[in-house]
Amino acid sequence: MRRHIARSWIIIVVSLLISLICISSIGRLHIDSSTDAFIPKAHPVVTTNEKIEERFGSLDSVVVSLYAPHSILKEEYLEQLTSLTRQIEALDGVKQASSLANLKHMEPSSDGVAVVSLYDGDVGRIEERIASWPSFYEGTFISEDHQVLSILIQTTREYHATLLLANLREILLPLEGLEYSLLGLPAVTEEIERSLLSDLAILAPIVALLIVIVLYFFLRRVAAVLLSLVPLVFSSSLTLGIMAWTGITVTMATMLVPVLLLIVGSAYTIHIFSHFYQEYTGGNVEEILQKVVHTNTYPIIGAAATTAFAFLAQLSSPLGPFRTFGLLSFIGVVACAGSSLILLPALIRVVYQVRVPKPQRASKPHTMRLVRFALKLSNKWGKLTITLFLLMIIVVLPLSYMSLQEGTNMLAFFRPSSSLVKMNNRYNQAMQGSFSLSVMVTPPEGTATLSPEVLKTLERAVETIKEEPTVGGVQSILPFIKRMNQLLGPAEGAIVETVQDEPVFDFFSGPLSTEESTTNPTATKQLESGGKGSYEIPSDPTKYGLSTEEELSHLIAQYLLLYSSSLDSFIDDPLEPDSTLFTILLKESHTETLRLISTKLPTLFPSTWTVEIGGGEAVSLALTDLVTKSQIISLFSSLIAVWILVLFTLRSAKLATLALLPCLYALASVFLAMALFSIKLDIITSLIAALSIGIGVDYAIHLLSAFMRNKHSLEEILMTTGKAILANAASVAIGFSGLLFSRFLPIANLGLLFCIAMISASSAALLLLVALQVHLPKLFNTSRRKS
Amino acid sequence: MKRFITLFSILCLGCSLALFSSPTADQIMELVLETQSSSTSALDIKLTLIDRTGNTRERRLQTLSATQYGKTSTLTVFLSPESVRNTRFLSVEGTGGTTEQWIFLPSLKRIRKIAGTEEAGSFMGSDFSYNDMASTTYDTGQADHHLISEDGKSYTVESIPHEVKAYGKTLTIVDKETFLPLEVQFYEHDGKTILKILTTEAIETISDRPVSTIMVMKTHSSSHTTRLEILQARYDIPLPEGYFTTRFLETGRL
Repeated sequence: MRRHIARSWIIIVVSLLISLICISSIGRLHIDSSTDAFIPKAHPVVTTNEKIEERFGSLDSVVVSLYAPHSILKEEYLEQLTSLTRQIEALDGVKQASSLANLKHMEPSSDGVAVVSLYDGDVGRIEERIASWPSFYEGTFISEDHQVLSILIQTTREYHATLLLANLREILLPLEGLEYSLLGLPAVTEEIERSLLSDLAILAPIVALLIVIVLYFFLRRVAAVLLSLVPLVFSSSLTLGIMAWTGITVTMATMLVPVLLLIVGSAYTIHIFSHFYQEYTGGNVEEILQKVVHTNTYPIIGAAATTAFAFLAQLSSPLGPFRTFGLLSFIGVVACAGSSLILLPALIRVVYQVRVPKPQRASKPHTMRLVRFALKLSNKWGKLTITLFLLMIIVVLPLSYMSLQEGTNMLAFFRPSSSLVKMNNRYNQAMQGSFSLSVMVTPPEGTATLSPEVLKTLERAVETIKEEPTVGGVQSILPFIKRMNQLLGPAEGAIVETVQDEPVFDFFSGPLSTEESTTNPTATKQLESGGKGSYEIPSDPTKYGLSTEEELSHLIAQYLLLYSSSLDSFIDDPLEPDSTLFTILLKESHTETLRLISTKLPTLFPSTWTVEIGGGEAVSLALTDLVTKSQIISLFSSLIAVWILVLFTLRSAKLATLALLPCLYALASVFLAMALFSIKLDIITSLIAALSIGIGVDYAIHLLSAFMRNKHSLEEILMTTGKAILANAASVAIGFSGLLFSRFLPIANLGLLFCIAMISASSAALLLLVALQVHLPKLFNTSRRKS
Repeated sequence: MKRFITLFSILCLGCSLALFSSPTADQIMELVLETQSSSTSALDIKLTLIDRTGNTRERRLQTLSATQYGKTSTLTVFLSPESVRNTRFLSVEGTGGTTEQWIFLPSLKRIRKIAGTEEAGSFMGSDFSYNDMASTTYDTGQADHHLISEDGKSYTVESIPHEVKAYGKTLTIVDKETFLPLEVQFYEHDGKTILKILTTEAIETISDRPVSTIMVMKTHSSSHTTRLEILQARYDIPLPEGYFTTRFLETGRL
């Protein structure tokens, strides 16, 4: 006995030390809340984004929007805008900040063109200037109703998002009479990171409290509850420690692992403690404990194996964080099972050396009534039950799966009542949109990007895309070329001088003239006034006194020579660009819209052109596709893994297949609920299928094992195993219901769906399998059972 | 005569510095500007733009400039790429800090007057801004200069502009022998983050004066570089005013 106690102390001390080391390393955890963390580095959209950023600068942009109760074009507001823009330009990580306060405006002058500051302190003049080019200013820098202003911030490629946002907030704090909001991907990512941390801080205690309640419900002793929690805390902290020490990034998927282990592991500790109480009637504690551990080793390892391997099936996912999630969950579940069989008995041994207090008797449980109801239903309405369950599996499962909506838009992670969603909606109503797709178009080699043919094609494509209802606007090089043509080009019908002898300018071919000019050197020729040209892409060479399209493309290059410094976000070279970039601004980011636009875009250009789609929403769409693919792969991998394990456990392919029926029913219920409640398949909810299979299959295994043992009547089986299944399902469902308190919609949805999955899997095991046993007993005839 | 006076003053200043003590930062930067200044010049310039992957694009231009009473007039003729060949740009500095500018668009055979441009913007897509093309250092009236360090061959001078426009700070390594910048580091507004680095790769003597004939400007964030080569140069040549008129801009005739 003394030897056992000493060994137990060693186990406890070592486990506590490991837990302490792991918990103390939490500070080393690296959190990445962005969906970018999920995209494989080699994915084409990542390559495209890198290519675009290399040529056109960072795709990350932050928008500061300012709201006034009435017209914002007032001196007091514009002065604040000027000061803000200047301060923002000076911030670390800002490549460029553009607003009405610092934009250069091009306008016609009596002898050419004037490039002036759009706002020069005169409110009347800025109104006139905006009105002279509304298609450029309105929707981008100011709303049509002139109540919203925005400062568009292009970041440098390497910048510290949190620092930049904190600095922006500091600058924006002393605003007077204006409301403000910060929008853009960095702002959303930051909010997710903040929510992720507060979620961890809130969810862990809530789930722990629920687990404590469940444990108390079953164990009826505070000491027993506390002891049961130790293995759960150990395995959860172990996974956190592994993440911290191996440098695994905490993503939205991996953050769920510790919470998941608390819930899953509680079933194992309940098993050990309940059996211990059941077996102990006085006498030697060590003997009883050894018996309890011995009898529970196989069921706990069996249950843990199916759960762990279903989690491990995530290794087949194309998404890295899901693979990490699968591996960590596998390790965690193994640690849970191991600590329930080693650490918990050690704790029991040390604490209850002398006497084991009996738990207070629970009132008559409702589970009895439920079990009786299941038995009655299976006997009386068995065939109907079988038909209904099979209908759910055969008809509802595929139909509901097909009707699932997909979407990984990060903003959709927040509840509609959150300030972030409200701010975005407000901005999107007034402006062109806060979601964007960046499209890089590269004509084939030998075709000038600035040729009228290319620009006209681009113009047609932009006009077609603008027709989509969710498209708020498209930003491209086109308005600049049109504006330059309007300002510098010839008037409609004006005769363009024909080519005379073009003078040769070469200051080194001979000596420079030293003779003074015969005319007054200060006299300048009377020049035409600017702004007489057409607001169009020059496409008719004769109108411009030229003979070929190539000459027209030269004219456009000459226009842009003046503008070369301002167009680097639209063309990769101011004079001879290879590619041009345009940005589609969207008011919403639905997967269907993104898919529609992404599919349509390449059809708008000749097949020899290269059309590459990048930007935040392209990542979102690619991720959605990967999530869907991952879900299908991991679903089948889990089913196969679980089927093989059950085959190994029950040694019957028929029974292994029957064991999957409750899981499939649970999946049908989950998908139906998702379809009914419009819950999208996203990076979190896509985990539900594999997890439901891993946890839900245990109920079928327990019941089928009881059938195989052939020792008890069906009623007795339901009263013992059936009751345990209900108890387990209830405890897991209650644990997962804690996730409903998450600030993240996908995590809250995961909690809801898990509850549905556990209730469905347990009820399918108790109703469908029992009904099948009653009405189709041949299905359960195996060589093992016969023997 | 002017050239003689310049050379004489540089020699005098150089001798006094050598005889007495280290020059002050202001004196060094004055010499840097003085060494590079000329009353008139004609330059034939090749710009090679090199991206991160090593792809190159070439630009070629010639300039004529004349400085009189502290006011500079410049005529720029773009020779390549083909699309902008013969586009000409005239800039005449007037009184009160104003600059008048005209562009001749060869495709339209028209001159347009341009009032105001973005001086801090990129010059022809290169890593040089319009301001950098004019000068990469500040004079004493524009910035506070501090001598940071000195070795046998060079001085390192930190310049903080009085009015922060394009850069928050520059760090110039000045060759003790020629008083030409060997390297200039351009910093962001914060004065800490490096933005661009200009390195002098070749110095030649043209018209009896040291000239940086090959310079490479590298933008730190993008690794994009521009190699500026002075293919031909003439300094302090007689240039009549007629070169800096819209008539010459349009017709090439004085």
